[in-house]
Amino acid sequence: MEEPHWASIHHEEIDYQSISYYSAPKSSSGAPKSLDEIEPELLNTYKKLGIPLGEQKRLAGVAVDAVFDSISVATTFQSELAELGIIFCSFSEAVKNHPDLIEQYLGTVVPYRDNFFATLNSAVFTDGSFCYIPKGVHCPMELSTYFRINQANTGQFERTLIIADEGSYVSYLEGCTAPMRDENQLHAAVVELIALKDATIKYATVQNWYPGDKNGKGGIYNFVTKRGDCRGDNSHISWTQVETGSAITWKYPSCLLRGDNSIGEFYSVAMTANYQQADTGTKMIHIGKNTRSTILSKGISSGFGQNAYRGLVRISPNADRARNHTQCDSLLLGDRCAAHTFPYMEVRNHSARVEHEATTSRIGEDQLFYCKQRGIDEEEAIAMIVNGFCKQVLNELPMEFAVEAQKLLNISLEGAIG
Amino acid sequence: MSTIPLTERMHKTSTALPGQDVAWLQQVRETALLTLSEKGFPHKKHEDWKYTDIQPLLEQEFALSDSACIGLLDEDIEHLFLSLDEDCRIVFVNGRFAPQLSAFNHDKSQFEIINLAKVIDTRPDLLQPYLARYANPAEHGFNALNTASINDGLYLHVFKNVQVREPIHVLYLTTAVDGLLVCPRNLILLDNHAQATVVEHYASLSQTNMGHVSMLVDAVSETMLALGAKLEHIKIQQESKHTSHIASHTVLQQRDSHFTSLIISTGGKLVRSDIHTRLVEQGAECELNGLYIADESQHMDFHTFIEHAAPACTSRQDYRGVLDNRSRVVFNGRVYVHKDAQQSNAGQSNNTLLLSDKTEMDSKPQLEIYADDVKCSHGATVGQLDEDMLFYLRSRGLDPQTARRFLIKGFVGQVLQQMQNSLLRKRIEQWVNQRLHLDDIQQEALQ
Repeated sequence: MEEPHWASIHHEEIDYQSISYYSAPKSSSGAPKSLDEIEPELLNTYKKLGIPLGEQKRLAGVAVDAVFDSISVATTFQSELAELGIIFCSFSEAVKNHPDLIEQYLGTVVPYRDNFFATLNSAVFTDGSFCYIPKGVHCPMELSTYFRINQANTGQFERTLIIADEGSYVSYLEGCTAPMRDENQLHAAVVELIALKDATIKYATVQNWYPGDKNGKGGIYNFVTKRGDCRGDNSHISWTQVETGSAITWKYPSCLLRGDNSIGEFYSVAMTANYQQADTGTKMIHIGKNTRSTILSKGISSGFGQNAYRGLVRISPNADRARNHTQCDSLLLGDRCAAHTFPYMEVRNHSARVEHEATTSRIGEDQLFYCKQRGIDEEEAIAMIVNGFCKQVLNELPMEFAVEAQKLLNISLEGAIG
Repeated sequence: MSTIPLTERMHKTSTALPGQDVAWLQQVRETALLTLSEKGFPHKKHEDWKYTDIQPLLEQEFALSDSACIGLLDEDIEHLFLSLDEDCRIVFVNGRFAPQLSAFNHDKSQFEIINLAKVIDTRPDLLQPYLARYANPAEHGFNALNTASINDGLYLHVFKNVQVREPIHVLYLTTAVDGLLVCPRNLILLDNHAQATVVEHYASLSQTNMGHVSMLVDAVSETMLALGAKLEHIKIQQESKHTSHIASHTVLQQRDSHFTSLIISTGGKLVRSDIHTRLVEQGAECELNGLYIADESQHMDFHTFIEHAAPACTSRQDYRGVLDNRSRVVFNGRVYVHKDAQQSNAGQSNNTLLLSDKTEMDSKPQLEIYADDVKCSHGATVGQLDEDMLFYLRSRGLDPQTARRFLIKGFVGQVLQQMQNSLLRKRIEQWVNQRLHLDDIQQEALQ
């Protein structure tokens, strides 16, 4: 297979030979017991943001699985979840303890030959998160995974598999960080979601990989394949993403709407500053009858940032009365950034209804003037307007993370306005 | 199978092309031929041809016709006239200029209209700065094929400050000749502040069932609008379902010029229509509209590409249509705003009605924006007739059939209404209504 080049992103050739495909934290025997032991740097950043992490997570009622470079180092709340029959653990544990589930579901949504980076991931992945919600169980807390790339020259290739059995519900959140490195690091993950009959999966991502410095040096290449399969009738998968980090983001969380009456949703905020590039969007493949999908994408470009929405809505001949509404808006801050939209609509059923709208503009002088006139300085005014622009998407995040995401956006905006 | 025999045939026919002694023209043809043999014809792996498979077309044999035009009379083609007393009409039959069918009763001081072959023979220098300067043969194989075989077509030059009121009718007719290849080449030049309406009209004679007859029209048009010029360009494509039609139109717009395009496609088997507008100086405006009516197994593919290369330019697009039976339509609209094209304003919409469950619509509106002070938007919808609207009409006593037809008429009417010339609009509405079997709707419903 060859590396694809169709996305509207530019980067130097990746030398796949120079990447370490496996890296474990040094003290493998004494794996850190709590999160603040293992991620002081991360904690500092997040303290600044006022985000509950580590022990604070317990108070906020969030179960965390932390993946550090290539292996999973800590999972909290396992026993509480086990009482309900929920399996939430690292992928390596799941392989040992629940091989039957893995065998049944792994690679059924994203087959190993799906695309170049999925193949790479399938070949080299070592760990990740695994989650299984049994029939009829409503998962009482947010499940969360923290991914961190620590070693230099390391690629992270984790794998996430979430299965929601009939009538169950789960809300899942992943966060990502990496320390500053001069060289570009590769992150090629695969996430598979499977929702059976009447099940609901909500998957939220707050991605804050190291974006590279002001001159575009360093940063993470985030080439991720994410796909959800609404396998049963009345199932529901919702993707929410806030993408502020990474030098390059290249991902399309998608939904296969196979069950009748199933619902797919995609809410996204992608922010690019300095020399960041984002090519992101979704695919909604309507196969079952009465399937519905909503796409809401907000792109913000500043500095030399490049931001592209690329999406596909396909209505198969059998998807009677399928319904889609897509909206993607772009906001431009600065005259050297760029915003693109490439939506594809393929409609093969006449009872379907597909709508798409997109707008691109910058912040109006009149809006700024109004704020300034009320005594709000320019930087703050822009932050307010950007937050208002993203509000519809941020509202889809679990509450504490909505606050986190909002602050992240403000941090990314700092100095972006000139 | 595909490209090599065709280019060989090209070499053979090239001796019959006009202007053999014009060095620059020969150069243009040869370069295009070389491009064609190197790059070949596009296939489905090309992003721009993703939804349109031309392989079946390439497997057939096509050749330029060298037969002179057959004995047609005005009466035979009267049904295709815009009005019975057309001022200016230039007719081509199977790609060849047909002087006996054309009419040039216009005021000669306003504009010059000649068939391209004649200009090549008599005044080739007139063409050198323009011909093949805008359309790029490397764009795709059909463009190259046309350029390699430049022979006849329209040459129109509207002089400075002239407003031409009557529409200029350019009629391309094909008769049933199996394996016929027609390569119309059009050049439209409008001087400063000139205004005109051009109707580029493609039609077939004898629509009756002719078995496996197959024809290919490969048209390339180039237009240059100088300062403040205003062109309304209407393309009517109503060829028989044995004809494949592949066309591209490249437009260069200078300061404050205004270009309106309306493409009405109702005929043809495989239809591909590209339009590329380059807004290269401040204040240029363009409006690209389209109407497609497809049924049976027709395949239509529309590509628009608007380049905002200068500040303060405006573009609008409205493509809409109705699909029935097993037809398939592709719309790919691309707006590209260059780095310094501040204050660009671009709007685009694409709406499609699907009437049958075997149809397919693929819509791909794109925005690529490299400037920040812009207002750009696009919208697209695909769906069937609105149940509520049908109910409303039925509650007013219309039967379901008539109610449906009313809604369809209203839907397509929106794009036709934008035509300035009311006589012309009525004539075109008549054709469209005939095609949609809506012509008797008024009398029936409004009793």
